[in-house]
Amino acid sequence: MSGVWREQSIPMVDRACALEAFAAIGGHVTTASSSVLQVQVNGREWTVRHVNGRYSVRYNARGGVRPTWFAELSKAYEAAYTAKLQRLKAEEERATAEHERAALIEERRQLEAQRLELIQTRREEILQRAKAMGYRVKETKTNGQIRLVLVRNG
Amino acid sequence: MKEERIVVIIDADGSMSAKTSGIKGTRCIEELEQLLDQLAEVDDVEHTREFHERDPVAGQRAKGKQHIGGGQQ
Repeated sequence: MSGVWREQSIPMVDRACALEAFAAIGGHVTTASSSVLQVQVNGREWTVRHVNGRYSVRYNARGGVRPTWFAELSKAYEAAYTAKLQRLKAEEERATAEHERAALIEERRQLEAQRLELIQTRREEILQRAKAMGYRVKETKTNGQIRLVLVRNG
Repeated sequence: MKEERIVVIIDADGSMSAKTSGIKGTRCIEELEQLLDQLAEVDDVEHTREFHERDPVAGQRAKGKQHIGGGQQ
């Protein structure tokens, strides 16, 4: 074995939760378009782009260190995402009018759809890149987890 | 020929992890970077013994944890 890597946070797929997370760590959104946010954190401006199904803060890890607030942002996002899911479920149960319940179910479905879309985007990109890099790929799926084994003769 | 292998896991919450084997030296990081660029921030790769062995292709050596990827700001 030569290298082990693990993503340090769950990907930020939901815009509202991402904005909530930035606010929770003291960030301030200065400009926002559909795919790009400018966020000020600790007096410095950062660009957040919606790329490949997630909101991503780009930084130059080669030339420096991972900003310390990244860990706080991850926790804040997870908390916001969990709270949103719970809120939608609770409101669904309380909703008396059929159209209200339908709207809440649709909102929760869209939240779930973003996660599934991210998984599919990542899977398809990796399959495509792996083949271009000369790897053979074996794919298995267990309980929603996708395992891609890439093999190449060195 | 020695087999080079990368196992990528995509969890149900969308997060990913990866393990390489049979790829020596800094090339294991380069392979991960090429595979995952823009999909995730490929930093904090933990190196195992094989990483520190000389790669006949790249002929480079490196030690400790290395940060890669991320892009620019």
